[in-house]
Amino acid sequence: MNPEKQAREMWATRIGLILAMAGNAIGLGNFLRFPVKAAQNGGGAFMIPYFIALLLLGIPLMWVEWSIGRFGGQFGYGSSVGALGQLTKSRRAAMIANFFGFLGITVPLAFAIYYTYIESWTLAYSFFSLTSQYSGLLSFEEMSKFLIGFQGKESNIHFTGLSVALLFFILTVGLNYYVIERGISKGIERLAKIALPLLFIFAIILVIRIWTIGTPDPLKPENSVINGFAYLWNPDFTYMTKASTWLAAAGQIFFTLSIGTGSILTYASYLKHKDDIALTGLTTSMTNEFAEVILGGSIAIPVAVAFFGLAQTEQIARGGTFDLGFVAMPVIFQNMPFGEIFGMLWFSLLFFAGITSSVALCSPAMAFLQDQIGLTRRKAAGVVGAALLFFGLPVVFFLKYGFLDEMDFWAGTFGLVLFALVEVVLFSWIFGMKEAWKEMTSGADIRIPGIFKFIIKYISPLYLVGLLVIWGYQDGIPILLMKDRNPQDIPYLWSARLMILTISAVTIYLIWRAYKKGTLSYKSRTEIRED
Amino acid sequence: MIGNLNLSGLIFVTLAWGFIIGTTVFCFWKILYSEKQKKSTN
Repeated sequence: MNPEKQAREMWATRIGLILAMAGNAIGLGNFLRFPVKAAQNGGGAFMIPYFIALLLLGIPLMWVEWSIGRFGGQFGYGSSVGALGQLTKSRRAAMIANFFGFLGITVPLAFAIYYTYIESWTLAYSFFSLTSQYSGLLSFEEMSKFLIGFQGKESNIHFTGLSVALLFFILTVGLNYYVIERGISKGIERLAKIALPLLFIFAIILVIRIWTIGTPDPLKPENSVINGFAYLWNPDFTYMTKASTWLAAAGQIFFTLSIGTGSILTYASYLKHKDDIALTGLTTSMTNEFAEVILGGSIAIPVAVAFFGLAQTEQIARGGTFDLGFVAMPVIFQNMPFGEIFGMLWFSLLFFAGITSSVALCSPAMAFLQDQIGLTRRKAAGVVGAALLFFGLPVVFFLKYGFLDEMDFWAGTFGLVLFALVEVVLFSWIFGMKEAWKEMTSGADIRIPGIFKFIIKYISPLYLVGLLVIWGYQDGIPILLMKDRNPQDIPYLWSARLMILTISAVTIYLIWRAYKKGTLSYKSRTEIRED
Repeated sequence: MIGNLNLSGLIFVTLAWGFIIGTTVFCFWKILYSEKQKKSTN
C-alpha cells in the first residue's frame, strides 16, 4: 500500500477541529489538578510562574507539535513515526528519528490505558449520583470508604469486589472504541461537537450554583465560597522563591495543554498544508485556559472551603485530586437541594473532559496502524480497543499495589517530557529554525512574534531539560529504585514497567516491519501529497 | 476586601481572567473575521 496515494481523512470544519483539539487538552486535570496545584503553591502567586510557563513552554511547544503534525501529514504520516523522520535531511537520520518516534505511540497509548480507567470512575459516579447509590454518606470518611471499596482497595459494605468497576471500565473502553472506529470527522469531531458544548454548559451551571451558595453554615461565616476563592487567589509571595512552585507550574502547563502526548501531532496531520495553525492552535490553548483557570478555579476549591472550612480543604488538597473530586465533591452535592442532579452534572462534565482526551491519546496508534501497517480503520480500532482492555485489566486489579501510579510516572510524566524534548530538538535544531519558522507561519491567520524563534530554539528545550533533570533527581531516582515501597508492591511495580516495555517493543518491531514493507521511508519534498 | 479576598488577590484574579477572556475572545473573533475574508475572496 502506498500511504501518500491513499486518501487520508480530513477535518470537516474548522470549529470541529478547534473543539476536538480543545477536547484533547481539556481533561480531568483542568477541574481537579489545577485548583489543587494553585492552592498548594501560593494561590495568586502561582499564576506568575504559570503564565510564564504558558508563554515560554506551553504555547511554543503547542505550535511545534501542530507544525510537525501538519508537515508530516503532507507526506501521508499521521504520527511521530514518519513525521519526525521528515524533519531530518538524510535517510539514515530519518530512520533514527523514526525509531525515536516510538515514544509518540507508546507514551500516549500507555497513558490512555490507565486514563480510561480513571475516566470510567467518572462515568460510574455520574450513574451512582443519579441513582442515589452513595446517598446518606455525608462525611468525608464515609465517602472515602465508598471510593476505596469501589476501587477494590478493600472489601466493605459498599462493594465486595471489583465487578462494578470492571463493568464501567469495559463500558468506557467500548465507548472509546465506538468513537475511534468512526474516524476523524464522523467520530472524534462529532464527539467534540457534542461533548465540549455540554461540558461548558454543565460547568457554567455548576459555577452559578456554587456561587449562589454563599455561606452554607450561618454559624461559621468564615466558611464561604468567596473565602474559598480568596484561598485560591490571595498571593503568598514566599512561594515565588521556591523551585517547587516553578516546577509545579511548568508541569501543570505541560499536562493541561496535552503536550508530548503526540495527539496534537496526529490531529494536525489531518490538515491541509495551507490551513492555519498559528491562530487555531492559540485558540485551542486559550479555550483550555478558560476551562482551567476560570471554570476549574471556580468550582471545587471554593465550594470545598464553603462546606469543609479552610483547614480541612487544605488537608483534602494535600490528599490529592481524587480525594477532592470523588470524595469531597459528592459529600458537598449531597448537602445541596437536587444534589443528585448536580453530582451527575459534575461527574458527567469530568467524563466528557476525559473521553475527549482519551480518544485523542488513542489517535497516534490509530494513525500509525492505518498509515504504516495498512490496517483498515475498523481493524486498527479493534487493536487499540483490545490493547486498552487487555493492558487495562492489571490497572483495575492491581490499583492498590501502586500499578497505576507507576504507569503514571513513566508514561504520564517522564515519557511526555522526554518525547516533547525529542520533538522540539528535531524541529528547531535538526529541521532548522529557518525551515521550522516557515512551516509554522505558513497559512497563518495571525503574525507570530519573532521572539518565539529564540524561545523555541533555546528557552523551551532548556525548560524541558530542567524539568527532566529536577524531576529525575527528585522523583525519578526514588521511583526507579522503589525506595520506601511496600515489599509486596514490588512485583506489581515491575509488572507495570514490563507492560510499558512490552508496548514499546511491539511498537519498535512494527516500525521495523513498516520499513521492510516500504510504508515508512524518507521522502523528498517533491513527494508532498496533493490536497 | 471582598470576604477574605484581599487587594492583591483581586488584582491577580482580574489580570488572569482578563488576559484569558480577552485573548480567547480575540482568537474567536479573528477566526470568524478571517473565515469571512476567505469566503469573500473565493
